[in-house]
Amino acid sequence: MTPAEFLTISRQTFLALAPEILLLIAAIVMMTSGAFVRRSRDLWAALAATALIAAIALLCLSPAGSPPPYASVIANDALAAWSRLGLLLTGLILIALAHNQVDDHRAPEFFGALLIVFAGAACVTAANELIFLFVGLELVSIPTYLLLYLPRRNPTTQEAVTKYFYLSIFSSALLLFGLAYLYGLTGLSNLKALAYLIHWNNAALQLPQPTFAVIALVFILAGLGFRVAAVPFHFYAPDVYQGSPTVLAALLAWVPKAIGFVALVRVLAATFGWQPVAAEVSGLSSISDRATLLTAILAIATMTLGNTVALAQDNLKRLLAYSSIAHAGYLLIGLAAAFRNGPEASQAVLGADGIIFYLATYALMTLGAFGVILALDAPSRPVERVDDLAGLARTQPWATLALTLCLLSLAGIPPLAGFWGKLRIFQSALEVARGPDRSLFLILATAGALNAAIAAYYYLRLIVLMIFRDPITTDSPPHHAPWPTILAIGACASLSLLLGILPAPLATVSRQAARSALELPPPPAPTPAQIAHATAN
Amino acid sequence: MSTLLAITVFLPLLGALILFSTPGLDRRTARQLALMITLGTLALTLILTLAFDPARSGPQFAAVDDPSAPAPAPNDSSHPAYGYRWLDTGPGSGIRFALGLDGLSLVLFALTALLMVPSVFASWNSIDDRPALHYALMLLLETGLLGLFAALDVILFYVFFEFTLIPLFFLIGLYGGPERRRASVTFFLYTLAGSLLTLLGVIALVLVHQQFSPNHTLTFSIPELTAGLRSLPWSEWSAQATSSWTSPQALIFLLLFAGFAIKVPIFPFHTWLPLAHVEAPTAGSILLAGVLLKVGGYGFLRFNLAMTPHGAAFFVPLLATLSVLGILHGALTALAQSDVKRLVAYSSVSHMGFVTLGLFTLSQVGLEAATIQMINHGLTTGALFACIGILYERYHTRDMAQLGGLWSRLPLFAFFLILACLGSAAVPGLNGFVGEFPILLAQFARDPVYAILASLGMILGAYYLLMMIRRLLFGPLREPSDHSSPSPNHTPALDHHHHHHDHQPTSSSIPPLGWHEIAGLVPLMIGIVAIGLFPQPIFDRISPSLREIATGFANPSLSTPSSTALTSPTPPPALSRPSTTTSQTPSSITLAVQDPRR
Repeated sequence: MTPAEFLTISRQTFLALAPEILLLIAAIVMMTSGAFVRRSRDLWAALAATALIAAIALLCLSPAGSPPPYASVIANDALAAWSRLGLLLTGLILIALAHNQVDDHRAPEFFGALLIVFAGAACVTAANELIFLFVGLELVSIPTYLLLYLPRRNPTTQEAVTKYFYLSIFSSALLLFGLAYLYGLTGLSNLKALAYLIHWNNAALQLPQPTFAVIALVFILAGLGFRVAAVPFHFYAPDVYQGSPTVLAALLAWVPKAIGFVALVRVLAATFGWQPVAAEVSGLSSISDRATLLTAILAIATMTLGNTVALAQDNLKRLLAYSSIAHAGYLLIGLAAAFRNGPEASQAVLGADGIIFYLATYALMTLGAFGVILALDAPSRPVERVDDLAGLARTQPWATLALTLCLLSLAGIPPLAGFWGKLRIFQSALEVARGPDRSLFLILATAGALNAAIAAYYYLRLIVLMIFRDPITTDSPPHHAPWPTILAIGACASLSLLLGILPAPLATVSRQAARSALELPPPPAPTPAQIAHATAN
Repeated sequence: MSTLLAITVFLPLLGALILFSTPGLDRRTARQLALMITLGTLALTLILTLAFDPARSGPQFAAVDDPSAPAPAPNDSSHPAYGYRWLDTGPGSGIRFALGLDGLSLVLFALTALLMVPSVFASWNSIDDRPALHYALMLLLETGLLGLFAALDVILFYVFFEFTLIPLFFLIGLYGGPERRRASVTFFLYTLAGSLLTLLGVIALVLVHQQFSPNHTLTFSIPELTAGLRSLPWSEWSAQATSSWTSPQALIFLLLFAGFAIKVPIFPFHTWLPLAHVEAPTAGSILLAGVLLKVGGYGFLRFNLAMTPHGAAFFVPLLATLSVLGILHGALTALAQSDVKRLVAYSSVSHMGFVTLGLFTLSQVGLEAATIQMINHGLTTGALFACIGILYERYHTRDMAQLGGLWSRLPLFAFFLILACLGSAAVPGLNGFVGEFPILLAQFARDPVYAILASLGMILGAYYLLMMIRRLLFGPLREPSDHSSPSPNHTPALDHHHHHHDHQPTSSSIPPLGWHEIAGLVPLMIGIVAIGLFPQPIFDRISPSLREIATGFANPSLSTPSSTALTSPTPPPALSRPSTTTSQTPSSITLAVQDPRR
């Protein structure tokens, strides 16, 4: 690479990362000035929201051109663009929900940390490099510890936070170990180059240690499995969700899951995804088989455990925690299917496509559900337990409507957005159910369908409580949420319905994103100078 | 005409939205608005029915994306891309928003629009609490049902199919009897569990079609899939499978079956039904029994029989057995009931057993009779539930032990009840006979044992219905007194939605039938008599679509070793009605059934 090329690539990279850089600068400014300036939390929330809007504007205005995929640390492709847009928009929703949830004197740190979380999340979705991916993940984790510690209220909360801290560090270590083996397999840390080598040059290259791939697979899956709360790395989730404030539970239920799955698609599915019908490539097929089987087992365990344990929950946040575990299970079905989509996959719905579509709908319905709980929770009438929702339809009809829409969407009932997510996940699994994989994917899809039916029970239970039961608690004057909260909830609920009626735009987006993640463009031909350099050595 | 069909489907939705946005509307305005909307929908449906061309077999009134494409010729196997693109799925026509009616869907479409009117009348005075919401939910349900029958796209069908759960869930849960919460949740979960498996079966069919059809087209269109799947080499694949249970069609059949069997319901899957029927408000019961159970039968015809005929042929012995068990179980359980609503609910299990028995004869006669029987059951059971609603509004009990001799009190009611019961008991000249008798004939030709056992159910049916008439209408007048101790099943005190419950009926306070009650029942009675006397117009309309389904079974490739090994020892005679015969009276069916045996 000539210095001139290097300069171009660096410039392109910085340009493409402008939204993240802007967010980080805003966060640093806020956190620093917070030590000297005393202002109300509304101002800090408004500042954070402005920074996010500016970042979104930068993202939309930035040139579509991508730096060369085999040389750059970021991939400015459709997956990156759409996931960053989606994540930053949900960032706005979270800030709207959080704007009155924190004390004035902690507000600058709180919103600053929130901005760093979203900057990190955006980095992860754009990462094309193992190290950069890891940096992005840590950029999400470290401010999350801060966010969880800020409102430390009682010993239970502290216990939950400590638990999250140690397990998160442990999972980062596992992930780093896995990434190291992936590097050891090929000697490369660029993800596209890694995928290209593994796919097309495998036979010629004769990877020295194919077993490295298996170790990398297991450890990366474990490390990221913690982020997405997949069984058996899920056990922190219910305690942490219950122990932390509602807005942080919403954050934990959404951001780590989203970036975890995007990272799984980028690192594992795009690298080890392999199509049984393609030409036989030594080594890769067995790794892809193992990845499929492992993910399928994890998916069934995650869905089944999440849903069955959720049936018995009485605490709302615990219930939603198990529900979010169960949704990780459905998403893992998509991942298992994605391991069967090679770079030239011909399926109408790819596994990655299903994952991205599902994530978008999951964001709306989960953030909406947490948002309603947060809006209803008032000192005069706390909403902690499931029974606290009883008879809500009489006192808070609009909140009931919004929560009902979100819950029905979570249950996957048409015509709500959640239905299309499940449809695309199931379709992606059945698309690859052919040949030797037939029974595996049939079992996987059937387990998913049965689990969706089980899950409907606990969502319905909440709806029944809200609408069919009479209020238990004494009459307190109905408590009105401030407008940003209402706006955020309304956006989530109405978009859940709207995307259910008109799913086509989201489907187009998710297909583009999935295709771009799998794409392996032909590498540039070496220049004469490079050939001369290589022969001289 | 395609616009008119779309308007018909979405007119109730418009009404529902108006009612939803005005939650404080008083009872009078709400019910009048709901009545206007249902009557308007019915009128539009009548226009569609009159405009329908019975000679054509393909879907009619369907919008075609490309207007320059010629309209399909009758019995042409190639179908254009109906409707409008809804969700792009890469190459191919994608998931489309396509509505259209063929003969089979037309009659069920019309049944839905018709039954909505008695449902509105049945709620006329009984709904006090949030009436606007009640009618909004009913109209929402109507849109779901109309859309379901008119859908030409498998995913659109599924969306409407699932969507019907939401309004009915709230209808039962908000306006039902004392056990309404349990009933609504049970109903919802049962149906959802089955229909999710059905969804997998539908996706599997679409993908199998894509993978193996000559052009590798990914299509979700029902007519295209039905035609395309038929030409695939299923019997070769069945021969490769290790056992008949794992042959591809058997697996897909089972997946599809799960949802529809619960909906119908077929015998061991019927346990949700009595609870839901008994707890639902009258309007809910009428729609549940009248239309929602038919969705299961419709699904069997459209998917299980039309798209997986090999699977159906393989499972026929099992399914016929379950149908007969359902007929007998429903009838015997109905005999033991003293709550009339419960009795009618179990009679539904029994009568729907006849429907599935007719469907699984896999013959044209059986399919036609089963379809007619679905309509009959809709009319008679709808009428019976409406009668029970009338009774309950006056006495706040449905216990036969507390009632008797009502003939002298409510003579017009007695007339309606007797007519509905006779229709349900398949008395010749009324509608039930036109359906159940050919079913028995077709089944007799396939396997006499099943037919004999099923006819036992018919006798039991006549017995419990007549017994109900005797106990309710004849004998000395008996009405619940002021201090009667109601059985725990129907404690009116829990039922705060009924505004009458605080004053006990005294003999002078029992009003005669109001105009709205008569207006609700008369159309059903006309239907009961008209179908009994002159069913030909309906047969004319359903025959072409059902003939297409039945030809799937006349296919010689069906007699693979796997399928003949498990059917009856004597291969069933081909039960196809001679196409030259156009008259369709029961006697001509008899001839057609016996014909091949000569």
